[in-house]
Amino acid sequence: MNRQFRTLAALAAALLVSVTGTVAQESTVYATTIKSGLFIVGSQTPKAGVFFQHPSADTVWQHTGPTHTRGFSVDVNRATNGKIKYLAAGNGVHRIDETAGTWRTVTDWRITEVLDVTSAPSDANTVYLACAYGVWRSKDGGTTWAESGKPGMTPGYTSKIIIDNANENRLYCASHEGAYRSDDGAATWKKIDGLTMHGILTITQHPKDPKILAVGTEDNGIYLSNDAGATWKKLESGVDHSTFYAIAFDPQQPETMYASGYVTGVYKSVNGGGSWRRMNDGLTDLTIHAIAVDPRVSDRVYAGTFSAGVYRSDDGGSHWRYAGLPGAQVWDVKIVK
Amino acid sequence: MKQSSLFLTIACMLLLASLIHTPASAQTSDEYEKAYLARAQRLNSYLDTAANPGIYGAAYRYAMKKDLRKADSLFLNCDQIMNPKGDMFWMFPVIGTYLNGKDLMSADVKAAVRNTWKTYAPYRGDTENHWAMYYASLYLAAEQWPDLPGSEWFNGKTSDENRIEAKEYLIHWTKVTTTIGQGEFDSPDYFPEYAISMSLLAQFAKDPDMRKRGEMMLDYIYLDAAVDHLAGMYVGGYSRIYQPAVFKPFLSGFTGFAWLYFGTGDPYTGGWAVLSSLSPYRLPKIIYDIANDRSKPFVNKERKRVRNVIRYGTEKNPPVNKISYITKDYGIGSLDGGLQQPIQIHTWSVRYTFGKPYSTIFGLHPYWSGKELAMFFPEEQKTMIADVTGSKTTYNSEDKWTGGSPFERTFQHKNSLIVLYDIEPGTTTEHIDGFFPKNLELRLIDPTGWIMCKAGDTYVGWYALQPGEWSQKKEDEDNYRFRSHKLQNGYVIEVRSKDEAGSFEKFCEQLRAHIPSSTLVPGKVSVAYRTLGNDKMFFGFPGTRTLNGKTVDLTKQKLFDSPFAQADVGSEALTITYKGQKRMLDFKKLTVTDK
Repeated sequence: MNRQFRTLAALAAALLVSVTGTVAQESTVYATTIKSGLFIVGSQTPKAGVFFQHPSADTVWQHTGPTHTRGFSVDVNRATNGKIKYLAAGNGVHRIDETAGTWRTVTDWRITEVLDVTSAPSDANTVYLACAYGVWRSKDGGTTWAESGKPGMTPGYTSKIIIDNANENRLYCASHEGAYRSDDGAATWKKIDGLTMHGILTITQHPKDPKILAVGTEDNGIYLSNDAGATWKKLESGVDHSTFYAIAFDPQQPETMYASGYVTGVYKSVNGGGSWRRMNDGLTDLTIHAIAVDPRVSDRVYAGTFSAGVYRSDDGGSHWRYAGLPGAQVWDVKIVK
Repeated sequence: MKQSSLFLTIACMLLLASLIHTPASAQTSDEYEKAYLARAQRLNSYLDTAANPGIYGAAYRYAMKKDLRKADSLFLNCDQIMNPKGDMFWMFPVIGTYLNGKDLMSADVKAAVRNTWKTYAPYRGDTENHWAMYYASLYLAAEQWPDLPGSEWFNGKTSDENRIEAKEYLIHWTKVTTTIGQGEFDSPDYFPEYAISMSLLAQFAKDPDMRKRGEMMLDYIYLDAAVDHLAGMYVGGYSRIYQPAVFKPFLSGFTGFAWLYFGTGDPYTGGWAVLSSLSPYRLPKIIYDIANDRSKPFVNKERKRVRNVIRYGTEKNPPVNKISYITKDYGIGSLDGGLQQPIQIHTWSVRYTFGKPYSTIFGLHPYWSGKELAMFFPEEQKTMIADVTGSKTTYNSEDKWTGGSPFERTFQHKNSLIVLYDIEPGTTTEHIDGFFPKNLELRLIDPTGWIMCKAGDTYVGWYALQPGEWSQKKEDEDNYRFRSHKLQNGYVIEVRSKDEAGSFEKFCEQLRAHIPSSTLVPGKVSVAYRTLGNDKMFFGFPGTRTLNGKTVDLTKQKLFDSPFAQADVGSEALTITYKGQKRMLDFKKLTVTDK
């Protein structure tokens, strides 16, 4: 009965969203899937790409943008209150215009296997992408693109690109060759010397202190820097795994961090990475590529799994429950206030 | 059926059969054309009577200008229009059928087809053949529906934007192929994807340059196959091949195209070759003659390229060097080895005309790794094996019959081949396998160490450098599997025909007199061997190759180098020669010159 009630409430919430466009006091959760199971509201067609929901929708998600693509990540542009989104996908970048209800592929044959995309918080037309062949930038909303990376970067497999919280001209990216920083809007790049290993998979910035950065690596664990990348410390206390795809800070309590990766389940630290504890109760798939904390509700955490869709915890990771997109391979989860 | 009709039908069939089977060299141009048309008609004849011939039934009727209302009905109600799916595999039959019938079909059908290109968003895919199909189809569609805004296209781009992008990519692909080679080269299973894409471009492009480019690329890929096939079987190695076609060579998609254009192999019906068979493109007779002339053994050398390496490598497209030796009875071919394509690469094989369907002998190191996949695919290396095995189920099987290995290298000289392995301990897997079909006439294990095989008029010798055992696995009921667990390993292969060796007994005698000497310790694996042709081969793993004391420099290998074809790396050109005739393709000038 409880489950039926929850489903009814979720459907009611979804209906409310579709009528009003928003739900007061709720964040919006975005999940990007490489491939999906058969479930989606109103359709039996297996869609992939970008899905979104409000937490009250429980396991019910809606889809936006291209219906049939290997979606890696989504950027929800802040300057437009999310009306403009960019989807990084296997076949390029797609710009989604929610106001017009349209989307458009904004890259051509030169750009493919796009793993991440981000737009400037103040300008939806300034866009950066990371792909299997390096980094590109656009100043006109994707109409034209220029290859970035030179000088300073070895062009190659780049899986993550972020814009500094405090300085829109500063960017960081994670690549197979290492981590890089740009101080001039991706015109030039400099390798972050303190990280000497290959296979930097993700890079994350502290929500309040821009000097604090964390990276997840292939086979080398998690590293943290307190000085904008000048020096790094490996976070080892309580960590029994080595490959990490995602790291998230709690926006309200940034000393709380979550990390996840290959068969890791979810690791949580409440002391800024000083020590970690695994919190997997309820998870059915321990390979987790994406993790995000609700900026409105500190203990609400979403995890995107490799093969079992989205999971959610409402108690800071102590317990997890299935949150929809059955069978989906989730690459990215973002939660927008 | 009336008696006179029956007589007429039989007479026609006999005429067709005689045309189909007229020897190539004896055919006039007129006979060549008639024989081709006869094969095309036979290939498509089932479409007249099939209960539900689907979209190809519509394309065929439009092309033949018959049963047009039936064609409309078939097109309008086919899966591709009713329930679009399949991405670029959806795109080419839809645009191909549309273009065959656009001046004949009803307005309703036209509107329904147009609507699918607005509402169904096909994915571009992640392989070279995907992109060839996607962009050739998109180019033709954008030409057909010009001046439409982005709102009328599945990707939001205007007709002009789609056409320009597709054209740019197709020109880029042509240039890459004719300067450093195809990445998905010599693929028995993926040949049709290129053949159809270029066929549609050659037939339907409005832009004469693009039409010409399509025709020239058809010449290019059919020539590539003509110098590397035996009776409709592509001779290995291959960039990509599905497991069934590895040990049953005639199962591949290439077989139908070889029958249609080369007239080789068994008659073929339907399949993807339908769209190509409706095209006015005619294989130049010089290529047909090359494909059919196996009167003298010849060596064919080729340079191709590795698929784009996106990590764990130092070069985006390292070269792949292939060598084949082809006679009328057999072909033996090899790639130089290493990780050159993920999943489905096949490094070497012997193919012969005897003993269908298992007309092959080959060996491999059945290797797999997430790192191998991550070299070529963008997803996470540790989860990629699970991803891949969802569709390529044998990828991580220790018993698989396809796949390359970083611990495998080859050295081939004519019909003698040395394959060496220096396998890292702990890798997947710690054994090598050899495939011997059970329908061999003879498979003798000689005390000298040679395994001596007789397959009709083809004789194969296999000298294992390390001991192994003959597997009795359940899945090996149609073949013998020779498995050796030594990590430093290898074998020497000799192939001769009855014409070359005189008899099987003489072949065996020769083998007994030619015993390789080897060094097999980690990091130091080598073989010195005097071939049956008395050439001295030395091969040190991974890349030391000498022939009669001279270093064999693979870096100088050309895109094509054979009695029939010449193309230099970077040339964007191909010269085809046969018995004093010459056809030159110049992709820079976009010209074809016949002499």
